[in-house]
Amino acid sequence: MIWDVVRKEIRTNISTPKVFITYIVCTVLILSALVTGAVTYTQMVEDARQQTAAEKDRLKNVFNYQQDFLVAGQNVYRVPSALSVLVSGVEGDSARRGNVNTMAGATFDVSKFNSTPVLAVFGLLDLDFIVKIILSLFAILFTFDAVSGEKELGTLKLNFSNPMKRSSFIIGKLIGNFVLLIIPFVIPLIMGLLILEFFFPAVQLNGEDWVRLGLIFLAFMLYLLVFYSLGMMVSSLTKRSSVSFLVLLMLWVFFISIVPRGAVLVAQWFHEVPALEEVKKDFARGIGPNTGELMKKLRTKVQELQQQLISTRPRKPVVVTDEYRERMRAWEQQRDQASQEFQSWLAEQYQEFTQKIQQEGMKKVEEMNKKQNVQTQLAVNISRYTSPAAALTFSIQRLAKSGVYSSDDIFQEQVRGTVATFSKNATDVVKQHPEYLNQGFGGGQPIDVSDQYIDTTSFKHESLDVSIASSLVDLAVLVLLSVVFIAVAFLAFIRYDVR
Amino acid sequence: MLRDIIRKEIMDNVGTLKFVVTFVVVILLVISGLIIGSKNYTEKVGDAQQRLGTNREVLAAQNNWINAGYVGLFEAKVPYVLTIVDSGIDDSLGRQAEINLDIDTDLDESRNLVSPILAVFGNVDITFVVKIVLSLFVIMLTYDAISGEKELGTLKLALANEVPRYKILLGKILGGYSVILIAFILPMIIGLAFMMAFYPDVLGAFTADTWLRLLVIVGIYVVYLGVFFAAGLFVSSLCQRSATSFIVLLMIWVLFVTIIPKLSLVAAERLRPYESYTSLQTKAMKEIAQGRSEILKEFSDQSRFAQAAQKGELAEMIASIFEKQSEFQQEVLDKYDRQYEQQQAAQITLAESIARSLSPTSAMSFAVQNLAGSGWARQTEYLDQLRSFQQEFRNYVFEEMKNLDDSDPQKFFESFMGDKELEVQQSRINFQFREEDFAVTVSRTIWDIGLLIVLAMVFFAASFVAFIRYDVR
Repeated sequence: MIWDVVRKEIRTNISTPKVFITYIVCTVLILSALVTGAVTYTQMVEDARQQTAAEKDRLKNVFNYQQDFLVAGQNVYRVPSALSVLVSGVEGDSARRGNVNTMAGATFDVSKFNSTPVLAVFGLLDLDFIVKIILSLFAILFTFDAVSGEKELGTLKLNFSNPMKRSSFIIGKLIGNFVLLIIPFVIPLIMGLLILEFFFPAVQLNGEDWVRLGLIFLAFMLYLLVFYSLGMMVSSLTKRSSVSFLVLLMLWVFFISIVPRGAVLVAQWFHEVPALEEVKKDFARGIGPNTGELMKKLRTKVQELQQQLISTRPRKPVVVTDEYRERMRAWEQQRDQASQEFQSWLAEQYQEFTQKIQQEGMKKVEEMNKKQNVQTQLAVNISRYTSPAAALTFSIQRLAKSGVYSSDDIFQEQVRGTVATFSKNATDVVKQHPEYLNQGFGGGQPIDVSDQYIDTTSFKHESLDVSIASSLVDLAVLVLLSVVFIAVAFLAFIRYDVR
Repeated sequence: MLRDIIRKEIMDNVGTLKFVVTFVVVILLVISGLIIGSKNYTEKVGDAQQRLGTNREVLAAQNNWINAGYVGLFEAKVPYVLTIVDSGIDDSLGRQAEINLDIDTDLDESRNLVSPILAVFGNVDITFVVKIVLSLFVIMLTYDAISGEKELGTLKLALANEVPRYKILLGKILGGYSVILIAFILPMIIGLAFMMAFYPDVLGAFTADTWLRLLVIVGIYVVYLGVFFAAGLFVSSLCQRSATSFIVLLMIWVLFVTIIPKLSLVAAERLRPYESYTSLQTKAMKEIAQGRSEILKEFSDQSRFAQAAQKGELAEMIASIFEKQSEFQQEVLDKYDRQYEQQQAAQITLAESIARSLSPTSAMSFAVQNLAGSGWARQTEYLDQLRSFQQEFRNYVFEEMKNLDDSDPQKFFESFMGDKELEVQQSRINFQFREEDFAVTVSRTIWDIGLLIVLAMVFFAASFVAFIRYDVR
């Protein structure tokens, strides 16, 4: 009996405008999203490759070691995960470039010419958006009059004049309509993936990526099931379909925008995070006095040396004797040695100086980042348990490695980890070649520092088990909600007044 | 007779569940939106003001003007006060700038970059309430305006009286629109009252200009809702069954609010692609590196230094080295960066043009963003003014560098290595952003406003035509 109901549902509805429109909308949006995502991703990969090559080139010809290398540092570029083609996450707002230098440690920016502000204006078109907003609305559209509509039309009581079990009816409806909702989503998705496979070679998915993709698909299905069952539930609780629609629409707006945003606000309220400006300000304040100290030391040392050399310099006699020349030579030797010693001392002082500045600055930034992470975690936790939309977004962003936690954070962490080694190596070089510090006004030969380039190919993305562990929570929330809604729909329908 | 119809429409709708629920939701959202917006605004202004004081301190603590020039100033963008009503794209835009001798200034560190969780979900501001909640309410109000009455049988009863058809429709229009206005304007007034009570400072930041802008923004919201209202009536007078008109209207909503804006960007990316910045940047960096080393070579001649020291022009010569380097770098950047910015702007403009002509939601968004200063236009203007200020600051530093006491090599050495505090003139390091004139902003948005009005008129006219021919049996 159930399968008859399923077949009836599919047959009656498949020729309705709503299925047709859903199919058209899905096809257009999914294909546009995947193609656009793939084009953008290909561009980003190419950009990162070119920029890395250009940076290595630059490092081969550094003129002013201090200004152009120690202070300006070197740039490292991040390549987003291939799955960001499907779920772009917060890519538009993530750091694409990191800069490692001896003064501020590690800084990050979106590098204006890598982020397109137009994305902020229009918002990214990706699968997350399509499923979360459009398809959930369609899920409501399919179900709001599933029960109350049939009652209004009078067909409901006709059905039960037959020996039909109520449970078969509701189960059949649930299955039938869900199939109708899912098919227009799955078919374009498969088409899209095929297009990616054949036309966009830069989008490489390895075995692990396919597992993640499978889980993302599961998340989408569960999410749609939540709204679908919500629709059925409300429809079985109300007598008039206009009422069920009003309620469902309000719930939709509520779950998708208001609750998640509210959760973020609550988290911010509980956990204030000091502004980055404070940190930068303190850092800038510190540079002056620290430089002043260094300069004082320098002055005293230079004066000492000057006194020493001047006092030991042999006086030039009226007649230049060989003895004089010899003593002069000895003195010159002394002078050269003193000069070299001075330069090594200078290099050491400089290394100390940069370490001090860096430590102070980086410590504050790290503190701030920790606080930020606590706040973010709180916001995530509050919203994922109160809104299925939030649960969906967090789980798929985690799986696609394009979210609040994943790509950017891990990249930043790993870059920060290279600072200590970089500073040490860079300033060690200065100890060996103290003349590098003098190259400012004098021109001189270009220096090749490309062997100090930080290799980001060893940087890792978040591992699969960590992503799964995190998103499992969200999937569980979705499953729980669906089960509750279906159960209530079932019970409500058993007691539904079909007259 | 018309007045009776209007009164009936209003009474019918104000008592319904949908009106009550919507009204309550709108009040809550408007109040919380304005309060939260005010809180955010107050924070941002506080940050920026702190900065003004400490810039002078930080500069003075440097030992010499070269260091001061490289350390430079930190500027924080002050958002326009009306971002409490429409947050636009402000959270995605950079808000901090560094002004110094070295890097070309830019606005970085958007709020979303620092707190990426904010980027995951949008802001719930007044524009959101109008764009999503109220427009859906309008659809729920109008989808059965005509077809519903027909189904109930009350339409033919109404027309059995001596009422011309157009009067019935006119009554519906005036009555229904009044209901919408009640659901929107009342909460707005209440919300503004709350905001003024809890954040009197924010109110203090309102100039006459601001009130005018707010008025126009509210007007745009009202016209926008009018477009959906008229569209609802039109579709309702085309369909025999309200279920059909409902689905059609929902599809139209999805199309206008989400699909068209997103696809416009996709289209613009296809139609006006631009060269990636990477290749441009590589060229630029090469040119800059070459040019700088040439400039440095010029001054590697020790004798020039000695000569200048004798003539007492050492400070000037060193200052001119920095000046030359800075000018040269700026030239190269201007060539490549501006070229790229122009291409990017061209694509954005195309995307916006497509979106605004096909979707009233986009037209409304852009118009409101322009007036509330929460969009791209104010950002580019801010950056332009920062760039001119950057030049002024650099000139100030070069001036001071030239004024160094170089009468005596010892004194000169002292002034470079010394630890005496610098005397910094506050007036030369203060940046004040000049807001755009109201008239200028309006002239830029007149196109969008016009589009919305025309669209509403077209839908109203069409609904008249459709209703005149409607089969009421």
